[in-house]
Amino acid sequence: MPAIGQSTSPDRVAAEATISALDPNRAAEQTILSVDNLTLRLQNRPNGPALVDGIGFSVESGRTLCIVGESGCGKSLTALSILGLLPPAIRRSSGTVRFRGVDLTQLSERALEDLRGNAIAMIFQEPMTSLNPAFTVGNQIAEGVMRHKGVSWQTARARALAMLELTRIPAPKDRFNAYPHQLSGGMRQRAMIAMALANDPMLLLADEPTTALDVTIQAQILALIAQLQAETGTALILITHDLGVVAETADDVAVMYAGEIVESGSVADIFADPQHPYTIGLMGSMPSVGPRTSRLATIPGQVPSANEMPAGCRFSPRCPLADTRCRTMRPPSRRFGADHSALCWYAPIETSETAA
Amino acid sequence: MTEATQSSRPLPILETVGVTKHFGGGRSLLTRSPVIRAVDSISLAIQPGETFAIVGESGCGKSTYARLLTRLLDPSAGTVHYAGNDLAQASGDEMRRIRRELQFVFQDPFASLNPRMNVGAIIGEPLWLEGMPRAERRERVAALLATVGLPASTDRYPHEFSGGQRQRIAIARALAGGPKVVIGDEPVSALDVSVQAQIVNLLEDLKNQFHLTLVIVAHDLAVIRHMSERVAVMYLGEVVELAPTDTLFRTPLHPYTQALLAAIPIPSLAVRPQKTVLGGDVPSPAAPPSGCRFHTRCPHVRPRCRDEHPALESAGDDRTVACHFWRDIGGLATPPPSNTRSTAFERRLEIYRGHQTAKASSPTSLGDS
Repeated sequence: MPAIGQSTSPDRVAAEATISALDPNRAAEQTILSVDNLTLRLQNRPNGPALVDGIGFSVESGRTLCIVGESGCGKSLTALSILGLLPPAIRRSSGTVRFRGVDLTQLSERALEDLRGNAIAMIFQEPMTSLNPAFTVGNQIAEGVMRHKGVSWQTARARALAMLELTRIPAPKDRFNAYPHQLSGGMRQRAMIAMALANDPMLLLADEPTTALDVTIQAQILALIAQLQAETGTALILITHDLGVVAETADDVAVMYAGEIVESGSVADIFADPQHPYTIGLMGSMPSVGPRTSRLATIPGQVPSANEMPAGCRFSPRCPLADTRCRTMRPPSRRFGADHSALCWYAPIETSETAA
Repeated sequence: MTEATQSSRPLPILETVGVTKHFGGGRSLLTRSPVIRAVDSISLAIQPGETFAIVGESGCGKSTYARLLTRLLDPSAGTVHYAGNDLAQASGDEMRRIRRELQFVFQDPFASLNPRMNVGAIIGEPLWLEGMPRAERRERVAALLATVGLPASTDRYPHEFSGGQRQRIAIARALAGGPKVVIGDEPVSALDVSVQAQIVNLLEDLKNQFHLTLVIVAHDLAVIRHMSERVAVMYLGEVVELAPTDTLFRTPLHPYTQALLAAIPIPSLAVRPQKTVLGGDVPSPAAPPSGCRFHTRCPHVRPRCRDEHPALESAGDDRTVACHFWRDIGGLATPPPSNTRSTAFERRLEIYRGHQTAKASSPTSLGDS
């Protein structure tokens, strides 16, 4: 078993040295990542609509932040922008991404390359398209170790095999020499996790890591990620559309809609006391495994495209409570507790109800 | 199905007896491709007017079985009867008539609609095949679009619509021939949660409006719980448990059903259960395990399971299960926690729904499109 749980491991010391070198003034805080006022726009339309509009969040060591939202809400773009992996057509027009105090947006491409797969790792949704079909799984994992740790090929291969064993892939020695197409979906995702964790990352970004998997395999992968996180103290940002996954894994939750975080809070805040009408509608539209009580709630219509983003609240065209003010004026961020806030004119909606 | 259930019920609208589908096995000069046993001897009867669900993980043969029900695939063995007619014996003309009543909605609305046909042509094609005159056809297409909650713009093409709208188009086309049975192969799994809820509600409304029999193939147990009256759980080409939905979710008998239910992530904080996670992958249908096909992953496996194949046997209450030891292990499962929602959420959802109803009845409604 590799010593990935200890903060004194040579890998981690090396990673910390990299970071310290980047910013000598950094405070020794627990916050691993903090994103502030991040706005993403299309490259060729600098004054056009914001695909991600002024969002901010942070995640601490050992904690899990779930970013939840439907397709097109900007959750994957947010993850890619953290790593500086935005597609060429999209550009960050404002905001900072601080990783342990260092603003990643100011780093050179070369410095980012040293971080990616090292101190910050990412697991993608579709393991078949993110593994290289022309190389064996073991070699792909070992390549990352050799690149970042400067160890010999033998040491890197030993580390890769140890990581495959850690993810409890069946017959790891055989899988090490297998090509991605020879593995099942669940095994490929295990290989991706082995690759992501091989260099003891301090931050792990997982973009819908279990969406392509069957429910029993999903349970295996989520349990594996949670166990490895508990052992290593890695901060985790989990991007998902599945509120069930959120309830089971998150410490903190950010609900995204049309490029904005419309509600954020602890997982208890979000499930016990959801404030934003979108959060409420989303929860109401999920069928329950308990006895059937009523028809599903719906959110009529669909997410507006970037070109037809409403002037006021972005959810107003679909919101049952929206009025003229909602359609014309951006809603304020209302606070409901230490860390719980929602972007809505009417939250909490039951008090507005009596006022109306 | 046993004779007893057949005599106590009306004539099933769809019935399969020992239906089997094997793929592969072809010979080339020197090699022989492996036989994939996608569906192995499934006997089921679907009653008129019910919503019947088939659930299982990828590779369990549920989609193949759905295609066998409409003769989109021909079975390797066994028979499929629609309202008493053997589909394999039906002539071309008869099959065309039967297909009007037996419609299919596919999973991916981006792949199932012809991108070069406009919406009017897509929905009108089944009517054109019936020989309906043009003017009448146009009226009927407009009515169908209204039925599924789409604007009456028949000259638009599929790429101009979102995923949820495309699935509505596919449903409108399935309704065009006046079907009695609609079979949906994962009809909502490609859609976002909020859009999925729209389509689930639409299918329910249409079922009531047109007295349809729905057969829903899905992997999402929550969707199945919400929509269906009876569920068949498939594993590696076989039905391992068949029961009324409420009974199945309350007391799953087969260890695979128990594992499936335990694996669902519950969107509620009431319990963050320490779940017993089912290990391993589904074995290849080219080489299914001996004896009980689930024995390689079963937490309750005993020696007999490795050698002897369990038959589906009656377990009372209209349910059947294929497990040697269901009597011993049936009670062991902890039923999945029901989705307990907070009172604050319930109160706000009521307000949300109230405003939605008020808005829907006002003339400025944006519609549920």
